[in-house]
Order: sequence, then structure tokens, then C-alpha cells
Amino acid sequence: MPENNLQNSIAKLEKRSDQLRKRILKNPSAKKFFKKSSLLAFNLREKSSRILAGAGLVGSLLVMPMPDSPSVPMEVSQPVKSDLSNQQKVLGNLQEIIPHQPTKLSSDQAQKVEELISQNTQINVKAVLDGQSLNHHIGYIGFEQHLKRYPGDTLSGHDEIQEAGMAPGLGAFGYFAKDSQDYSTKTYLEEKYYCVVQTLYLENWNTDHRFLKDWYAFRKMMVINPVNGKAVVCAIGDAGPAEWTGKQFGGSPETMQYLDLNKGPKKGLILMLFVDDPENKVPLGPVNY
Amino acid sequence: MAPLFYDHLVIKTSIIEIINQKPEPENQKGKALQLIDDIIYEGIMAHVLEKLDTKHHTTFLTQVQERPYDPELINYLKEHIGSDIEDEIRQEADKVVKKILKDLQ
Repeated sequence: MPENNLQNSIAKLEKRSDQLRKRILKNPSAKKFFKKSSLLAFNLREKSSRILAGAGLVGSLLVMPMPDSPSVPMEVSQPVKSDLSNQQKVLGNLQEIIPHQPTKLSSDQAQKVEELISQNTQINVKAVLDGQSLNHHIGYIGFEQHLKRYPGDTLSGHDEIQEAGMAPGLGAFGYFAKDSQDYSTKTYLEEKYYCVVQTLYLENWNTDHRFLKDWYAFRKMMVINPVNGKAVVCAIGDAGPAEWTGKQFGGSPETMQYLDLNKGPKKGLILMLFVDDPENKVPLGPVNY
Repeated sequence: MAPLFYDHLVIKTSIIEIINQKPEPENQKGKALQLIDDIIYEGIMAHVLEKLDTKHHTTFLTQVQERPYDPELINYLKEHIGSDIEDEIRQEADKVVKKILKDLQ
């Protein structure tokens, strides 16, 4: 057996990838298209970044003129009184109620969790909202890259955790703002505190995806780390992760940092609930309670 | 990262199991998993482009880039290749997965 079996396999896989790329590039239109695009494997974060860098696209993106950004607050607080005992109350009770594995809560569990969190954070949360429910309320969340907020957005325009990189493709719901003129503090915060949920695996996605896409796009969610009680109100900015990853959710670099899930494997089990905010009064960002 | 429009047609649990059982460091496993995801994507795109009339290539590729998650992409392929394309993609993905499993031995 070779000393590093996986390394040998990777070498074989790289050859196979090269062969497939050659097969794709036999098509003249594809060859022309891929000269200008990093479409191959764009869904892969680090790999795609390397491809972009190899094609010189990262450099060209970084030197593009930056649009004027509005002045934005560095820290966002929820309009609730800072009271550690509330957080401790949630933490202690939550750990008793919820299982420590990916799960869809039963209606009984959901009711207890909703009451506990809503009473202690003053933010109304729901496991089921307008008849909609995710396949998981508890699941593993993974560390995502930054997303492009508007056409022409670059990584250097993101003020924190630039080392996370920026996804080469758009989020499932497109840009947060239609252009740099439309880019506001609201859209800044939506990307800063975005989360990812598996809308594509909803039972009725294939039949109702137009409705569901609109319903879920940028919807406010509350994500809570049941290990430390830290909570963030985030906006759904993307669909995923793919089922095979073993994760059910994703979080922006800033969301993951606040939840204290940005180290080591950069993932962890969390609780994800809808924020019932018909008047759009609950701000995005860390929940101080 | 968002799923791709064909994810539901690809079964790669056997690959994941094999990689997870490997003793190598996590970063190397991650590299292998990313490469495998690349290969499946490339295999499916190669197959689709060979089946799709060249006059539709640019439109399709542009749509994939703009909306890689969109189930409507499958409908586009059904419309321009045939209703069997979903099964064909599934079969092509199976073939690629088998080749990957061979590479992992």
C-alpha cells in the first residue's frame, strides 16, 4: 500500500478531471465560453477561487473601481435589553428540549422552543410560518464564503473576514441589490448576516419553486447555537448546502464568527427558526439578550 | 454553497463513505471531495453539451452560470434535447461515480 493512498487517488482524479475538461472544450462554443468564464466547478469554494486566480479574473475583479458604500454601523444590536440571565435561561432550557442531531421538531417541541426564545429575546420566532417549514429545524451549519451583493461587487469591499473569500457564483436568490446605486445598509446587512437553507429539498420545491423561491428569498431567520446560547438574526441569501455534505445550513463568515463556529471544522449544530416579523422591525445581526 | 440543478440526480454516498474512512488529514479529504465534485460537474456538462444542439450551448451555459441551482435548467434540457435527459444525466453521473470509486481504490 502506498504511503499516502489518498494523495495517489487525488493525482488520478486530477487526470480524470483534465480528460473531462478536454471533452467539454471540444465543443467550440463551450471553448469560447470558458475562455471568459470559470464555469467549471464554480460551486466549489477554494477550487473555484484557484481557477479564477489562474484565469486572472480575481485580479481584474480586485482592481475594478469600488462603488460608493454607505456609512454603516460595525455592530448591530437588537432592540432588547441586555440581560445575561435571559440567555442563560434559554441556554439551560433549550439543551433539555432539543435533540443534538439534525431534526425537524415535533409540534410539541416546536411550541416549547418558540415560547422559550420569543419570551427571552422579545423576537417572535416560529418553526412553521405561513404554512411553510424547513425539513430541519436543528442541523449542522457550515462556514460559507461572502456573496456578491451587486454586480461588480468585490471581496475588498467586504469589511470583515476577507480570508473567507467570495463565492464566484451568485446566491440562489441573486444579488442582494440590483446595482451599486441600490446597495443600502439593508442589503449590506443582509449579506453580512446571511444564512443558507435547503429550500431545494422541500417536498414541494419542484412543483411550487416559483412561489417558494419568492417566499424564502432574504427571509429573516434566527439561528441559535445551543452550546453557548449565541443567536443571530440572518437573512436567507442562498439555497443549500447539498445533501451529501452532511450539513443542513450555511452561515456567512460574520454569522459563523458570532456563533463561535468559525474555528476548527467551521461547522456546528444549531437551531434555525423563522422570525415572524410582518412589520419588518427586527434588525439583522447578533441578538443581545 | 448553493446546490446545483442536477444534485438530485447524483448519488455519491459511497464516495463520501470511502473518503471519510481514509486516515489522511481532513484538509486532504476536503481537497479530494472538492475535486470529485468538480469531476461530476464536468462529466455532466460534457454529456449535456454533446447532446445539446450547438446553437443552444451559449444560452445554456449562460443560464447555468446565472442560476446554477435552478430546476428550470432541467426543463430547458428536456425541451431542447428530450424528455429522457434527466435519466441520461442520472446514468452519466453513475458512470462518473463508478470511475471515481475506481480511482479511490
